[in-house]
Amino acid sequence: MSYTATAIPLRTAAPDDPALARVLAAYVASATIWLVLTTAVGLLVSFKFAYPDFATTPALSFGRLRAIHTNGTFYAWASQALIGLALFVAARSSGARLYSERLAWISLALLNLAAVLGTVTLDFGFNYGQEYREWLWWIRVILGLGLITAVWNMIATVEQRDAEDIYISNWYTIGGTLWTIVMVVVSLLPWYQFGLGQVAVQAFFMHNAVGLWFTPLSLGVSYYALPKLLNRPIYSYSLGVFAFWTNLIFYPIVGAHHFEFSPLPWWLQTTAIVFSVAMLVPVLSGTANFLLTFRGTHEWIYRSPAVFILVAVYGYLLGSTQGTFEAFRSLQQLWHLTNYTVGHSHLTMYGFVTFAIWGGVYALLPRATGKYPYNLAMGIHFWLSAVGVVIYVAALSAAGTIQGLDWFRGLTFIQSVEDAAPYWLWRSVGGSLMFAGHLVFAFNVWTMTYGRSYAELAAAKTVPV
Amino acid sequence: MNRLLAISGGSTLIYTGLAVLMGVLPGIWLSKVPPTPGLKPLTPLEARGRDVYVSEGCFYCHTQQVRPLSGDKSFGRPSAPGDYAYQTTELLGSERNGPDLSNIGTRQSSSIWQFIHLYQPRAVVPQSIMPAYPWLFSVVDKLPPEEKAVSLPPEFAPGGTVIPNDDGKALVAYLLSLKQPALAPTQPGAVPLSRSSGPLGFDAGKGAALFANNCASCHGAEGKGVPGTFPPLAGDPVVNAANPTAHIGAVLHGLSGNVINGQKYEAPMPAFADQLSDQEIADIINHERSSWGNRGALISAADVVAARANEPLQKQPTKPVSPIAAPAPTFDPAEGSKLFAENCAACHGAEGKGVPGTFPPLAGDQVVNATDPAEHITTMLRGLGGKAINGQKYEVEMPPFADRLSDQQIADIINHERTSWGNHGPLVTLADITKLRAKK
Repeated sequence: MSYTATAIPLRTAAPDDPALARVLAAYVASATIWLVLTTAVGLLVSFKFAYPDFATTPALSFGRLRAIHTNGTFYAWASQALIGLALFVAARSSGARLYSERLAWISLALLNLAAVLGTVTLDFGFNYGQEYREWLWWIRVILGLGLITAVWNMIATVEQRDAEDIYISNWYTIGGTLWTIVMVVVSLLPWYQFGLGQVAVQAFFMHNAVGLWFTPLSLGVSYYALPKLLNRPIYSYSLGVFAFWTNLIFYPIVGAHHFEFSPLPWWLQTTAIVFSVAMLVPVLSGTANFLLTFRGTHEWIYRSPAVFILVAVYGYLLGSTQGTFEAFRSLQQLWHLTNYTVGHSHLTMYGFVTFAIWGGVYALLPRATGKYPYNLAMGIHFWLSAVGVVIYVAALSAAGTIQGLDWFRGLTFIQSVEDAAPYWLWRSVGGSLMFAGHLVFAFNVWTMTYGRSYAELAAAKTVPV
Repeated sequence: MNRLLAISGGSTLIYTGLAVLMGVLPGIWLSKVPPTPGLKPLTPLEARGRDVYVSEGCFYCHTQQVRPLSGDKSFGRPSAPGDYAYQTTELLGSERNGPDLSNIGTRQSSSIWQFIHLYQPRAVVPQSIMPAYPWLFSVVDKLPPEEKAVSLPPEFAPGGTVIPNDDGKALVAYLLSLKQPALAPTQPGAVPLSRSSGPLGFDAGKGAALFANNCASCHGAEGKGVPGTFPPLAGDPVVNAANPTAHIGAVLHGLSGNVINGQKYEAPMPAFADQLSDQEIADIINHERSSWGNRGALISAADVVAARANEPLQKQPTKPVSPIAAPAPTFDPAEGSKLFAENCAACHGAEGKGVPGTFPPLAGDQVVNATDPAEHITTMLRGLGGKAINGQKYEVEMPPFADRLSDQQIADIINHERTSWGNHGPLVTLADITKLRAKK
């Protein structure tokens, strides 16, 4: 099978590789368990804003559970799901077998070991004290080993490809994983992390962990899943390559915009703002590429799992553009340190990354196992999660704006707490819908793996020819 | 050459370079920032308290960074790089569901308040959403001789006597250690600036913050301006002039098309007369006159008042126009109520009811209702400890506010107390406070 660079590989997708199917199913199932667990924790934590005296024990306290929610959704749910999908994409887009099933199991075991140890130690109060790298250093070493074994497997698989070109998905997934390994090492070494120096490293790390791990992996998986679902090639291969390099060069520089008006050097903050604007280049080119791939599908797209990717693309566009605007000092002055930031991080990590993963799972898992989910259940999942996240983000954006204005007007601090309270309740409403969606997703994963197959009927419905 | 190697190796090499440039090198450089003068390293107990702070996730809701923004004013002076020299783990934080704690050791210095608040925040701040931390305390039947009980209001007290455990004590020691040392004047030989230097004194932190908010975007944080577009303030003749009329006039009414040092500036400067108070304008002007090598004579808020009225200023730095000329006791109830909420309500309660047996009530209090306000004012200025009020002995020390609030602010608070919750004490004037402050 040969193909040109622009017409990408819509290889026949018969479930002919049971090892690959086993690997993908296991990664997705494991990730899904973490999704349900860590978002249950998130939901509990959100209710503590309204009922601070509910469940007052150390193990169920806000300060410990918040870290379990963020690290669990990041490094267990999203990371496991994306690595599983990336391994599958590496094999299928290269027309090759997975390099090593055994290595894939080792990666999954390491990732799960890190996640279990990280969750348990956090609940016992062992916290490194830096956001998004709260796990103790040796647990983050285990996570790093999981990434190293995973990227080794991806590279070795792509190395066996049947054509000279490397499909764009693999650029993103392999690149993103390699950069993240560098990032993990930089954030681990202690020699340059004292006082304000640690602030500088944290500024670098906390944005890179999102923008050079979840973003490229989600885009990479979507570059493969979307053409599969739409049965047409991606609009422009070169636009994807262009976005790849610009994302790589601009993103590592924007971190300090998390510490605007802090004692970090002013020029470092200004540089970060300038490159936050530059980020519009990869974001708009990536978005345009996906939306142009979608063109002309509006009549039936809402009956296809591709609609998850459509939401993800809009989540990417809105969340990233919002990030650029938030970086301006004039707006940061209002929104920084408020709940607006939490709304932003859910718009990106949920509206973009998590929806992209779901699109990838619904697109690829049935092709691996030959078992299709119920369309109705997929629709219920979609609407619960989509409506939930809209309520969530709207509520926290409003809450954050009100908090910022209250501070700006010189009201007492407690006034801003009282004013935000009704919106925190709405956040819990949105969160409840999202969580209900996750339960339906878990059911769908079960139908796509061990449950009853719905193959023929659903296949005919969801993949238009 | 292998294409895979080019993409993965090449991009990783680029990324590593950027990671060193944006992460490692700033880390190396900023790890060496020297401590702010007066900053103390943590004691072993305080360091243990910081570990508790981290392990309970306090930093998710409390920042430790005061920004040079108006909204952050109540938390302290803007944070300086050297403030973090002893802070590893750094705890600047990213979200404020609770107030900033950079200066909490000064703002709320009572360990007893801190213990009650940690055991059950809603015992002292009813609207608080902070979690309670009962596991930092133990409940005992009999108070050990060397311990002090946490005196909780009855509705929040458990069966026995509550005492803090080692983690609780360490955490409070850490919180009380969070004090921002005052920033020393940066210019060698510059006039020492503090409230105690008489009516002309100005708050350097406030001036710097106001300057950063209102002026620095054009004139630059270092007063250097932008060549040809915004004039520099460092070395400017008007800023350094003994007679401040032109300087005050420029801030009040703006400027446009002026020629300064032979350079014509087209960009108009906006008028601040309607945006800033007289005191704020005086603070900004004094900041400009004492920074970046400038040596202009300092001014007072009264000078700004006079300039607004177009009265000629006879600037004589040794005999300043007294700001305390206003005779009639008037006060702004909104300001008094706000200041009370910020500084007093945590202990005395928003309704002046206090906490029985721990913090005395102000409603109906003799001192608050006395015709002679001297004791009321000195209590505010110097604090109080171990006094019996209405037959009840109060162990908790009230902190002194002399160094934390201006005379006007203290007058506003006292007048608020004297006119609220059924109290009917006569009002005090600014002059009363100034007089008692001077009397050592």
